[in-house]
This record gives sequence, structure tokens and C-alpha cells, in this order.
Amino acid sequence: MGFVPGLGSIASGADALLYLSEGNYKDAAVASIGIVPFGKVAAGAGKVAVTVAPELGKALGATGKLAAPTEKAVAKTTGATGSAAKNTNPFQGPVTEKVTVVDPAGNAMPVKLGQQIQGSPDSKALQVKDQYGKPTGERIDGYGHSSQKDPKAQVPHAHRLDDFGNPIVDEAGNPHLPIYLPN
Amino acid sequence: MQCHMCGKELKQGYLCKEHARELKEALRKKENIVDKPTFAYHCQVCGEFEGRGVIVEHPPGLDFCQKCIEESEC
Repeated sequence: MGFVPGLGSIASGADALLYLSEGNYKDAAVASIGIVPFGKVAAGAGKVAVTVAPELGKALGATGKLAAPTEKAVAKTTGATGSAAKNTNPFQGPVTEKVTVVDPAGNAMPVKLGQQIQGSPDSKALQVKDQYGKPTGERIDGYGHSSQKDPKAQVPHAHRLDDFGNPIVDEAGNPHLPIYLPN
Repeated sequence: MQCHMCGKELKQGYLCKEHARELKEALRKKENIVDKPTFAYHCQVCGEFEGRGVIVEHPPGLDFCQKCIEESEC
């Protein structure tokens, strides 16, 4: 996926993407994840961008999946973005505006003002941290928990929050929500 | 099976030797310990947070319970 600097809109072509060097946790994670300013999310359908906010929940659905991730974009980005005063890369620290992170499979993670994302270098395990460094509960467990009895917890899943910060559960009350898997 | 920290393919277990060692060291030094974890801190490996000892946040953003760390081989 692509890393789109926080300029307020989605660049529609791959040529508009910046490229980041790889080699450390942050860069490795960023390299496989698209980050878009809150308000628009790359739909995965080629060069189409979909307006999300303020209808984020509607666009992403209860699971946080994008509607139709039909195409993977390659995301490599280079260099730091913005100044110390402005940060739209949640892997580099608290963001100064809302952004939505989209993984290569099309799973979206909204990141609010002051929040950041931390996780594994391969981006399979990610979670949103608040301004105090504590997990908000918004999380992707891409490895699953194979020793759990619940089949939904065994497989890769996500934990999502609604607009009020409450955990989203499925129709059975289960907080382990399905995610798109990489092809 | 894969290492839940780096994705390295493993024949068995959930942490590669390098990261098992790293986590055991963090546990020994009591670095980034979460004493009374909530569900938000549930273990990357087993998914539990209660009755599994402390949670070690290492690296930041990845949570592993004491039991899974101690059971890992390095």
C-alpha cells in the first residue's frame, strides 16, 4: 500500500507515492502499510480514492475492512515526513491530524489526533496507542492466538472500537473480528 | 508456525530463539512490565491477559505474557 503524506488528499497514482528506505522496525512497518490522511482512504481499486470521514464507520463497516480491496499497491516510502510540529505518520509518533492506516490486505486502522501505531516489523501485529502510550484497544492480531478455544481468536483477527471508544463485537458478542488476509 | 515478533518461520513454538532470548532478558530486567494487564494488553501468542503473570511490552506495541515468554526456547 502507499504512504501518502498528510497533504489532505489522496494521491491517485503510484507515481505520487514517496519511497522510504527500509531497514528498521518503523520503516519496515511503514513500507507495507498505506497511510492516508483522515477523510479519504485509498479504496484499493486501483487509483480510486474513497471519502471516508465523517462516515468512517459506514465505509469501513463494523470490522474495519475496506469495502473492496481488489488491488494491492506497493508501498515504499522514504524519509521522514513533516516537521517536528506536524506528523501524519503514526509509526513515527503521535499524529497531529487524524489518519487512517491501511495494510496490504485492505484492513484499515483509524488513528486519531495524538495517537500512534506500534507493532511488529512485518506489520502483522499492530495496535493503536493513545497519547499516554497505552493501547486504545484498536488492534490487529495478524498471527492469531492458536491456543485459544474460540476459533475466531485462533485465526488472524482485529479488535475495533466504535466512535465512542467502545469495543465493537460481532453478532455473537465476540470481539475477535475478521480481517482480510494477504493473498 | 512463525515467530510472533518477526514472522520468521519456525518448526515449533511461537518465538524465534533470538526474540525469546530478548523477551526473557526484558522479563528478567523487568523492562516495560504491565503488572495488571487489561484485555487491551492481551498476549500476542496466547491471547490471555489474566492469570498469566505480567505482560511484557517489547518492543513497544507487542505484548507477551510471562508464561509464554518462560515457555519459549532460546
